[in-house]
Amino acid sequence: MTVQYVYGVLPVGQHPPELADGPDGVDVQLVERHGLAAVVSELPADRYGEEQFRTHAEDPVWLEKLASAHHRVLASIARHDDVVPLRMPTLCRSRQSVLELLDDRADVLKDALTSVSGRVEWGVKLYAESRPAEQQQVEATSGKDYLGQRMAQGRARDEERARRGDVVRACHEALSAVSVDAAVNAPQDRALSGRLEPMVLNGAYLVTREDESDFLSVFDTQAAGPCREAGILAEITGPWPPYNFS
Amino acid sequence: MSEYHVASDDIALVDLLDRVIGEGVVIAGDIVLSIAGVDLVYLGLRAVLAPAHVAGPSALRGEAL
Repeated sequence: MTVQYVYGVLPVGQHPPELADGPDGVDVQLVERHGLAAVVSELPADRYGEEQFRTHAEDPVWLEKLASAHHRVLASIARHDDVVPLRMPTLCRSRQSVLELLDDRADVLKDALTSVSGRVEWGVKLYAESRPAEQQQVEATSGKDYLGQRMAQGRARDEERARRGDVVRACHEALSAVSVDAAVNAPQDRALSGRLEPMVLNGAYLVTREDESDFLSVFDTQAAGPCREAGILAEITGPWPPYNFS
Repeated sequence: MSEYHVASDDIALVDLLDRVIGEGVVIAGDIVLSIAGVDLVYLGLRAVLAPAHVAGPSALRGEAL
């Protein structure tokens, strides 16, 4: 028994020059209908079927293997061409079901392709570094003095936070201005991000291929200028297939 | 020069899973096999991932774009 694993959809006529392999090196094929091509691998059901996904839904090693194969295939297309990623896992019983999928969802898929056409995704994450000023302790000479200092420190922290908020917003707006679309995702918690600093922005930006160098230079300017001055560390990842905009 | 890395060098597992499982077009209905709630289970997985990757960002040697 096999299942048809669908990675994504692209317009017919686009033939990606180097289509990456699927999990375990399996072939990746295009199944075409009505101007759309589904990117598909036939996988053994006993390894990658419905039940296997349920069993391994909380298994990071197993999911990492599948997710990286899923991404590798989509990225090999997105390097040069348009592609709409489908959510992992999208499994069909047969080739016939893949064709039905293209029939039934033609409108949604064509709209999605139009909105990502000629565009890629970039990710920008901002982290608030802890600043020495926040931890500064001044020796108090009296109780009143101590309270006054604590209040002043509190005010300074609030101002610092407000200033950083402004910088984060301005950075997001500057990046959005050179993007076609933007998405703000929930910040990843510290354990997941692998960083001690709290994440203060987890943004995704849909950028036209011709505007990528502008986007990167806006990022550089923001990262090295206002962000650094405000104690904000900026990290960029990409280009990604347009996962956030499909 | 600002600090940035590009997805082609290394991809943090959480960034990858957030996109691959958390985003993308959802096809529901009879056409697809029902993997009910894998994306919901993933919210739980994020918690499972945390201790495993707390020592440092997990990196996949991926060829991104």
